[in-house]
Amino acid sequence: MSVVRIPPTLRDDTRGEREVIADGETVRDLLDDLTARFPSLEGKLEFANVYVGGEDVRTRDGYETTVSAGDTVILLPAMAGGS
Amino acid sequence: MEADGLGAGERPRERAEPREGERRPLLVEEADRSGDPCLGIARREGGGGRVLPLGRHRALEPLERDAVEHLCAPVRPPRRPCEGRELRLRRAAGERGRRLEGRDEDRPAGCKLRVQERLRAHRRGRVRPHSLGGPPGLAGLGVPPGPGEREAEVEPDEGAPRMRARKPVELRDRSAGPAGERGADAGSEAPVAREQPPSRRAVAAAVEPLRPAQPLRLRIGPQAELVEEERRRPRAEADGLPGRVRVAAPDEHRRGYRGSRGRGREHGDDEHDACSRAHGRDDTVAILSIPMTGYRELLRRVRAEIEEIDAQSARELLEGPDHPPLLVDVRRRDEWDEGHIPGAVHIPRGSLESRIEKAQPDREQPIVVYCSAGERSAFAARTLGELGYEDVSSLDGGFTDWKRNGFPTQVDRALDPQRRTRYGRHLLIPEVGEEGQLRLLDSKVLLIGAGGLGSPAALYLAAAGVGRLGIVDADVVDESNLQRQVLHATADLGTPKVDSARAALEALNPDVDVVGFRERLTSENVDRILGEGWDVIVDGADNFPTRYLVNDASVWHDIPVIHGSIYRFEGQTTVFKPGSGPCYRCLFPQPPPPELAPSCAEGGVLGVLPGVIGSLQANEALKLLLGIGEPLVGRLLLFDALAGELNEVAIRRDPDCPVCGEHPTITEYVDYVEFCAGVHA
Repeated sequence: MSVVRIPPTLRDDTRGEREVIADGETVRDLLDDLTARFPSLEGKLEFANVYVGGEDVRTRDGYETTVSAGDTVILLPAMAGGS
Repeated sequence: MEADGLGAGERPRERAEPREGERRPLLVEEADRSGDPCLGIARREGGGGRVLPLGRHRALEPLERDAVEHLCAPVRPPRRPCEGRELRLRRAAGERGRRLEGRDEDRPAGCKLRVQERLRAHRRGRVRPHSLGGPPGLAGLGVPPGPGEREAEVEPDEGAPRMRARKPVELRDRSAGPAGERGADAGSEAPVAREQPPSRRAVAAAVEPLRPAQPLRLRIGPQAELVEEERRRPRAEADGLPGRVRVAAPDEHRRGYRGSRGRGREHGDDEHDACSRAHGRDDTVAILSIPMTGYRELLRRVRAEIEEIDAQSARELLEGPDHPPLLVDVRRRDEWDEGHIPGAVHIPRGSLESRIEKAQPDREQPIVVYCSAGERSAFAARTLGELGYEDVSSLDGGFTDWKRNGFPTQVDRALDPQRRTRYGRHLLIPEVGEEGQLRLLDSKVLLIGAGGLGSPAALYLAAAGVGRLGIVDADVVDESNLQRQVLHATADLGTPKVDSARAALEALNPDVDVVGFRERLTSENVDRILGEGWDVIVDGADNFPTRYLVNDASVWHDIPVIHGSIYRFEGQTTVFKPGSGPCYRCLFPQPPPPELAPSCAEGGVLGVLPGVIGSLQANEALKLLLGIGEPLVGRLLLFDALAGELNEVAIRRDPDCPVCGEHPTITEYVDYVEFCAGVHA
């Protein structure tokens, strides 16, 4: 069980939830669990950077990075807004 | 109390009230025959008292006066009267006393330091404790004989009752008599100092705990005058003598020492304790000599005490291969502004004591001080010595001599008084200071966009005195902008943002030169605009193509980018610094499809959010410009206004980044609109 932070651009897909509890031992499992529960996320998560414990999973094992119970997972897509 | 000898009938004022029944010397003030106040040592015995005048205390310099008080009055009265139960408790504590051993463990380290500093100060002055080794924790305080010092050994008269002020111990300089003879005939010993220069009214005071029948050892510094007093000399005759010597009983100080423990110990008492204690362990003597001096005489004495260095030697030292000394200019600000020695730090004489530790915390490192002619710096050198700096020299002839030798000088650009006032709060921060402010005034920052992020960033950078602000924005002020774009006002509606921004920023700070680029940043104009030598880019763009363009251009132009982006309640900021951290493409190799990345115009934004993120960007820009702090390189700061949270994730340089990686695949500008739209097409 991990807390996943949903970025504002994807909250329409999670019924407005800012944080969602998801199950899974790896990042991939977690994201699959999310997509299963919020089907409209399908195809959108791949554009988000994923951080486990403040570290980009690309610098670890990518989607195979293991997630320990209690880890906070941050999904972070690029935001362009500046004005 | 009865004034002894010199007392002119005036009742002496007690300066330190001993506890009842306690025998210890007192420091009293009294008037001499001419009515001038004198300082004397008195000793209370069974209600009566004797006063041994030390001389005119007017002539006592603070340090020396202090020392006399230290030596004479190890027990000070409590600063706050205490009564009743508290008093009884304190007395009980005092009477129980404590063993001398092991006391230093109780004492905070700072106290030892203060004692040490004071003893150093004594060494610099004319108070010369002989040897202060011995007590645990105070080991190593022994003061070796300095140049020009000599030692004298004196034996007390064993038959004489100790501690009689009327029977002061005769002090003779054994070194002047037959060597190695202890207790030699008086005739074979030369008085230490019988003659005093008529210009001086000196005071010699030695207050000494003495073990019975042990010889008293004196160290006499070059400046110290020790005065012998004939045992049978009538007091009246002694009036003209510059001073007296007082020898105290060995147990007096100890009792005083214990006594102080029982009273409310306050700051300073530790020094008294340590001082008297050290004295209690060794036969030590302090000698004071206080000539009445004019400025020339004072200067002469100070120069005799300090080290001086001529311009040629100073230059060799400064340019030498070894650790060069810290060069301190103690002149006034206006003198410094007109020119100084390169590499010097400016600490005006008046601030020397308070600021030198910041400039040079290590007291063992060499320091050379200079002023215009070598006089103020002589006093400064002595002050540094009193502060414990061990290797201080004063530049003989000062800056004038330095220039006369044709040695290099330097004139700093300085803030004028008006700017000094305007940026006064910056000048007070050591990390900014005048040098930093001048740096900001010389800096150039390019802002991409004068919108939500650009507005607060530009305002704060302008207020901070960043000399040139470039603003790239093609838009005009729209009513929907005013909810958050604080650079623009209602009256500016329809005005190009670069013009509105320039007016607002120049009104805020006329020091700022605002350069407007009323155009969209494109692959065609980016080299021209970035080519104007910007130190930092603040990216507040509102679309992905511009952000990727800014990224690629900044990598190729080697200009750090302060990135900021906002959406609804959340914002991010980081610093992309080419060469030392990731770039935007390392973080986001590809933009998300447009439907997943709505802009503020589409999704909205809380008005204050750009204020937070834009201000954080200005903060990062100032840090980079000043070269201070920890810039957000490799760290992405996430701000959630609703949660009130600030989080941080690590971002790393991608070795395979197509732009800043080891083998870049993108080496020239691409069609960024197509890149951002086409990837997902």
